[in-house]
Amino acid sequence: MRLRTRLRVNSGITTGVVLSLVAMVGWSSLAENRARADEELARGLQEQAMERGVVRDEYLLHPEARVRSQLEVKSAELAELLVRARAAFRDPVDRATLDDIAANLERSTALFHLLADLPAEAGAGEGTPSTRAELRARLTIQMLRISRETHGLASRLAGSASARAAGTQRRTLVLVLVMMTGVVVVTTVNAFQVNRLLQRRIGVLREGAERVSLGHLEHQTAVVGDDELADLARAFDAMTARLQEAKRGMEASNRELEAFSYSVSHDLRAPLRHVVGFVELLQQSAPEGLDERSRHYLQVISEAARKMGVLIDDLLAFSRVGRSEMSRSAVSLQRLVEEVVKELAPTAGGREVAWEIGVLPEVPGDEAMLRQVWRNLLGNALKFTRPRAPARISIGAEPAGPGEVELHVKDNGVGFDMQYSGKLFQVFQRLHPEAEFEGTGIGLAIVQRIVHRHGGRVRAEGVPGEGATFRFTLPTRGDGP
Amino acid sequence: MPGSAPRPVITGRALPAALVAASLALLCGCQERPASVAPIPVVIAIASPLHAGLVEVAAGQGMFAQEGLAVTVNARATGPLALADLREGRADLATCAETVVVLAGFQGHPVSVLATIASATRSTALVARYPPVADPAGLAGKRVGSPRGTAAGFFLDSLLLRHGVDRKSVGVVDLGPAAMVEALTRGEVDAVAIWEPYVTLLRERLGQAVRVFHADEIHFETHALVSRPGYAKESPAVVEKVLRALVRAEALLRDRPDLGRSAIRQALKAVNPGIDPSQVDGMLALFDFRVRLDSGLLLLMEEEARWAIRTGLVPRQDTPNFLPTLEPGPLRAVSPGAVTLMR
Repeated sequence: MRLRTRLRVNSGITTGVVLSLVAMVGWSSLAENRARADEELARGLQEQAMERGVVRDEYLLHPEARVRSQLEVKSAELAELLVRARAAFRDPVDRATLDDIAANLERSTALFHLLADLPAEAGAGEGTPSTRAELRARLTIQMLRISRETHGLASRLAGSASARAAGTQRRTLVLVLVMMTGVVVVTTVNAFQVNRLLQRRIGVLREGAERVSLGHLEHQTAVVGDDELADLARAFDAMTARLQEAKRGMEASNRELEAFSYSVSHDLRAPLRHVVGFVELLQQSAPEGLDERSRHYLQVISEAARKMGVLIDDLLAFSRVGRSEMSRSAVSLQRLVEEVVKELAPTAGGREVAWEIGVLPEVPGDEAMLRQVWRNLLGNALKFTRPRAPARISIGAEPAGPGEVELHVKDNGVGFDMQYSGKLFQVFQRLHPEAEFEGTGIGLAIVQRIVHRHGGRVRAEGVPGEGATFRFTLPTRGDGP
Repeated sequence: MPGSAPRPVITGRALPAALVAASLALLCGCQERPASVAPIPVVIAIASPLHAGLVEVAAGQGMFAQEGLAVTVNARATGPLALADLREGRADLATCAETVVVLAGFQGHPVSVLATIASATRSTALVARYPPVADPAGLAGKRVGSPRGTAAGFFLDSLLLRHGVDRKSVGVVDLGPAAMVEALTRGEVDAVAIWEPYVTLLRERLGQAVRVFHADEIHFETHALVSRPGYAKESPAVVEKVLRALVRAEALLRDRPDLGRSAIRQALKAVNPGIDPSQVDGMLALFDFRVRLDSGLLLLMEEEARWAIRTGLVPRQDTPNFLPTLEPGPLRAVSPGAVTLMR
């Protein structure tokens, strides 16, 4: 299932539950209100029946027209309440109770009329005054019994409505709890599955990215699935395939370019040697036949040719770094740095230099090339701290990531402006005048090429007048390019 | 007397079912009633399977068994006979009309009323030979059969009162329900005051030769579940279990009348083999089968007490206070809404 579908399912369930809860709470509120209204109706019925009973008893004591009309009003009100209650109560038991109340009212009314008419009926000569009184008492008892039963029935009706209201509240609470539990379970399971899928997919992608960053462009994640992250992994695979293809093309172009530049450099050396040689011959063979201006010109030609020779040599060296086969072995950077420092120390010309060398690891690589890296970086540090006394140069290492170490060379030399840092590692690019600091500007380009060939990265930080720090990374595992 | 043999409720078929139910309850962790606890034996003496319909439903549909009771129902011909069982220790509980409770109290045999389980206005009637009795007013100078000390006596008195007949002008003959049919058939009496199912039986037997009269406005009777005084306090759990089963029987009779009526029909047939089963539904329709305890019962009992004193059935005395006779606690515990005593 796609992640979008999973997330839609989750939000769909949540929305559904929220809507259901709103509907339930609304329904519950309505049902409870209805039950409370029913309860009120039942209490009214109870009260009205009692009031009617009081008026009826008064009439039986004092059969006056005034009381009779009050009784009729009470009876009508009670009948109306009963009609309303019949429309309101739906439960079969409640309706049966209402039927009982209605039947009781009928019986009670019949008894009332019987009692009200009793003197005339019994006065016809049937029975003695004592039996008439006995009959009246017995009918009255029946009427009172019915009144009490009606009161009890109305009370039961009110109790039923009250219980209904409480039951509605209870049912809603249970439903809400059940639904909330359900949604928590469903969303947790779904979230757990999404999380597990993300972990699995992202893990594969991260591993792929690490492998590619180490130069393994042939790496393929080969993810199977139909979710978005599987799509991403497939896009990643396509990207690495394209990169590998591009890399092959670039390598071919580079090889051609290097072959061309090597060939040009090499071929330039021979005519340049001729130029230098013949200039020297000319200077030596007929120095007296040349005037001052001609000698000066020859001197300029000679120096330019010598300088061009240096440039060509540097270019050839740079080219060799890219072309030569790497001879991999475990290289102790500690030993290498200490040897290079020892080698460079005499060139300091008696300057006070404080070398601080940290603990450096052993890495897989080409020892000669790595020695060149240190030689160039430490040589630069020594050169650009020339105005400082004492010069401070520190070398150190720290972990940079899985299977990688970052090394640095920090000095308190003249530094550089960071806006030109992009030029630092380009061939024959210089940030300082040659008159102040000698060199052709090839050293850092060579450093970068060697570090790249080892699968590392290089960067520099600097502040004019305060110093510079060069950092480069090297793999600590032997599976680099 | 037909139907006097005890009828055990836990049968061979019901026992495994009870054991299975108890085992399931144990599996569910409901250990209030472990399967190893034997059912509590309870004997109930009833005056009539019809009036004690809820007892028959609770027994026939297994409600007593579900409450952990092994109830034996003993059917007696009249309420006084059922109370005799209670008094003499042959029954733990009994059912009878409230009139019987009142008269028993006067005779020095008080009982406690735990609940009423049925009520009716037309379950007792006057069955009169026609001719000579065309209406209740014509009873003056006639002989009327009625079981002594029962609700039928009070009914007859109310009927006479309602129709202005001097009670002294009527000769009341004490007859048991079974003897009445023959007495009326042979003309030994002109009428009988009796309850169902005998009213229906007499009408079936004598057809057009009899007329049946009721006392709708003035007569109302209840059938009560009673115990020895103090029994509810000695065995509160048993009384509550019995009442709970009866309340459930009431619900069954209301919600599944077919099942409930079937149980009553079978019980009635066992006691009165001659009864036509098709007539039973008509008889049941006369009753309101509800477990309750209300103030109306007190009014009735007091009026009946006054009647008993006035007519010389009992020595002249003040009307007793029947409130202590009522034992509302157990029913209130089982079904609070069923108790509506206003005193």
